[in-house]
Amino acid sequence: MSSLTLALVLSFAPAPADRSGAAEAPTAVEAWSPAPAESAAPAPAPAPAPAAAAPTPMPLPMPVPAPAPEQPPVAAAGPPPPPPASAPIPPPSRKRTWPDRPIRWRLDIAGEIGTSVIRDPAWRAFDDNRSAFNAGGGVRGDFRLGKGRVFLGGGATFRRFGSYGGIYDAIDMDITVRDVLAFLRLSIVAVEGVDVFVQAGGGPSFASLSTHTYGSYDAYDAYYGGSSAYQRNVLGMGDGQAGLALYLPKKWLPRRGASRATAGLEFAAGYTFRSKLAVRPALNVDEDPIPTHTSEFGDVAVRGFQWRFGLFVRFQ
Amino acid sequence: MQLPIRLRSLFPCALLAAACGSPSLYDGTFELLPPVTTRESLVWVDPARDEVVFVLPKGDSVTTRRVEIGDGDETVVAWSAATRDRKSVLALTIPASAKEEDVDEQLHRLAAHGKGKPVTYDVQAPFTSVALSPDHRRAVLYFGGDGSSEQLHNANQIAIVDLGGKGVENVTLNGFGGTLKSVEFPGQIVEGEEVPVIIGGVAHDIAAFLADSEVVLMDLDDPALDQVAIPLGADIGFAPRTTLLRPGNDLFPDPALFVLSAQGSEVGMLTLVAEGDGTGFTAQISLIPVGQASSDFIYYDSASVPYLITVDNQAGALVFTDIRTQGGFSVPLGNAAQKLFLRDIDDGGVLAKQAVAWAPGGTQLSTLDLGGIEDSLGRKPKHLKIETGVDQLVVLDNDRVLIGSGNKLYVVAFPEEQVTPLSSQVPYDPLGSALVGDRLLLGTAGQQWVSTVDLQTLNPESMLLDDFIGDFHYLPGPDRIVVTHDDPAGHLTVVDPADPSRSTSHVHWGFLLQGVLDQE
Repeated sequence: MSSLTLALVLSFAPAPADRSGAAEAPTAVEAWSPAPAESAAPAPAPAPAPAAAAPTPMPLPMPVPAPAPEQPPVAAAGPPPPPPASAPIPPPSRKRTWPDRPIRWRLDIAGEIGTSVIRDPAWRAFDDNRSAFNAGGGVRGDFRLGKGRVFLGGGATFRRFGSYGGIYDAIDMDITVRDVLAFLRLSIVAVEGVDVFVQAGGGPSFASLSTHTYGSYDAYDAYYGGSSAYQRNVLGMGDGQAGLALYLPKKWLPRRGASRATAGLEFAAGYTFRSKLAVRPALNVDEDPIPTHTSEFGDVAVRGFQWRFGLFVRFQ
Repeated sequence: MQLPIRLRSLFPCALLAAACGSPSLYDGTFELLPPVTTRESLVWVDPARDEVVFVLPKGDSVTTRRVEIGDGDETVVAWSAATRDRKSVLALTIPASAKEEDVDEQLHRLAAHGKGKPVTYDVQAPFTSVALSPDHRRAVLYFGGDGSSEQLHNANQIAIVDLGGKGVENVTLNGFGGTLKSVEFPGQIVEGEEVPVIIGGVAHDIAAFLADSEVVLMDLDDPALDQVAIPLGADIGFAPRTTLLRPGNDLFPDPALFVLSAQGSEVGMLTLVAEGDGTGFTAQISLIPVGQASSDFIYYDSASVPYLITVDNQAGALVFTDIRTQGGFSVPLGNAAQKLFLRDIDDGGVLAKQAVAWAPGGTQLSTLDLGGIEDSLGRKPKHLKIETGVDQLVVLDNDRVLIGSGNKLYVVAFPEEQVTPLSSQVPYDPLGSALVGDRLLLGTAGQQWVSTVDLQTLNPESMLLDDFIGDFHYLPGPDRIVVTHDDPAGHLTVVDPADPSRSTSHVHWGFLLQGVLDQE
């Protein structure tokens, strides 16, 4: 309950990203430009005009925080000597500033690795153990809800895992599963740089499996027997995850509040459901075969708990 | 929330357990016993999992049934066999290891279709061999020539199993110390019928137990009766090889059991007579001289003489012995002969017998008409030439035999005295054949062809399979040829014997692993 309360408090508080940016960023100036005299405000106190016609100095860019008006005028010590006619005029020195960009949307490109833990005993026909390593990548985007800490969005991920094993010592089996996952994602910015998120989605899961059996050698050392078979299926897939994303906050980036890109990593865990796969591979046969039928080995439920670790680049 | 330390320490363990978990269901070996043919199914036994797998072809599909026998991990299946009527399968389970002391050996009888509960017999010993009675009523389990892996076993212990019920008799033979080699049922000369041996007016179902140099006779209908043990003379090197029982009739009223020796020039003749007290039977022993040697024998009653016909394989002759007087004569065959069988012939409108003699490796079959043989001195045999020699001979029916000889098969029709060679690219095994009506079905391990021969027209047809043949089977129930291919997952081709073609055949794969992923 306390964690829920904390989440709610965090979700309705103003976004810290804006505040920090405003506090530390200089006054917004989109880019450097020479300031016209009438607009350069506040103008320093006018220096006493020399009695004689003296060359008018070039207007200098003024720092954005206006200097104190009490600052003595540049020309207080007297009119500067006129530059030699042959010397070029040095370019004005400038200090770049960036506008603060409030984060209204985010777009992530991510890569991830993880492990699925598949509890169905039939999975052991495809693997020595219950875990299956998977890898993938995807893209996702979200936008801020109101002015709070909550972002809502979605994305798509492609991930793949494969494994191989065998049934007794009779047959070798291998399987490859390719998921195309579309999901909705809700993120809460706990502090800038730390998101807590949940996501849920679904999509097709493309499973392909193959089998191989071995024959034997006859008395003349001729090899015969054995076979191979192949199967492809599209399974329904649903996926729910929750996790934590850590990324570089704006204040750590060179352009600070105006930064458009950051990067981070995320950890997530959840459950992936796939419809059962009826294992009935088709025997590989030569051309014009005798009508061939295969038996169903049974069902395997490639579903279970999974965790993943990912890296992402975020545009915002 | 602060988790208790003990609870926190459980998390890594739980994650580890989730990832690894229990041992896989799919570890272990998958070495099935060779398939057994029943009327309706092919039956594989999986010793490691104590399962009997029935594969039943029907139409375009096959049905797979699995039946568990034994006691889980504590037992393994030692062997399996089909009964002679092919309506049942027998499988013996024994302890999986010598450390399993509380597990008994059991014989299981399962119906050929795999349905119903198996009948289980407690047989007390891990027997290695089984003899099935031709009348289909009994099985006798015994230790064969290869003995047993038991630390100590009784070589003359047997179990008599009632295949029609649930009874089993565990018996030890009362012999003279010889080790049991084989079991025969000499009185049962008609397949599937009870043919008791009448001794002194009393019916007996006699089994002969052949040991090193003796024969033990037992009435299987009444194992409590005294066993009759007959020593045949270790001193003269008489080693029983096979037996032949001649029922009593008008020519010789007492049943006689002939015993062929593995070597020597004599045949043992045991005349079976009733015990004086009428409670059993006994045997009168005599040794009949039959020339230089004897490799096969058969009895034949002429109109007035009860003969024992033996093949003198050293002299190449048939020896006729009057079993009453032990006098006789021989008919030289003029070529090698080791084996002998009789067939019926029409001798001028009278049913008569003809002897056919042959020898593995020989190039001729010899036929000798036996009608009036006792009055036809100097009768000459006829010969049918087999050009490339005889490797194997299979009697197809009364009129035809099939001979395998290298890359040739010969169909021999005795009435026409016709020998038809069938040439092939690879050797055919005539033992891998079946006769359905007038259609001969052939399939040989290691080749890709199933062939049929119409014995009326002798027109062969061959059908190319997609894979090499492992075993060739004919199932009379569904009337299908079933050819297995070498594949641990199960791979077979079902062929219609009436119309063997690729379009009417079906290949089935993976049936031995059907449902394997659904086990818990």
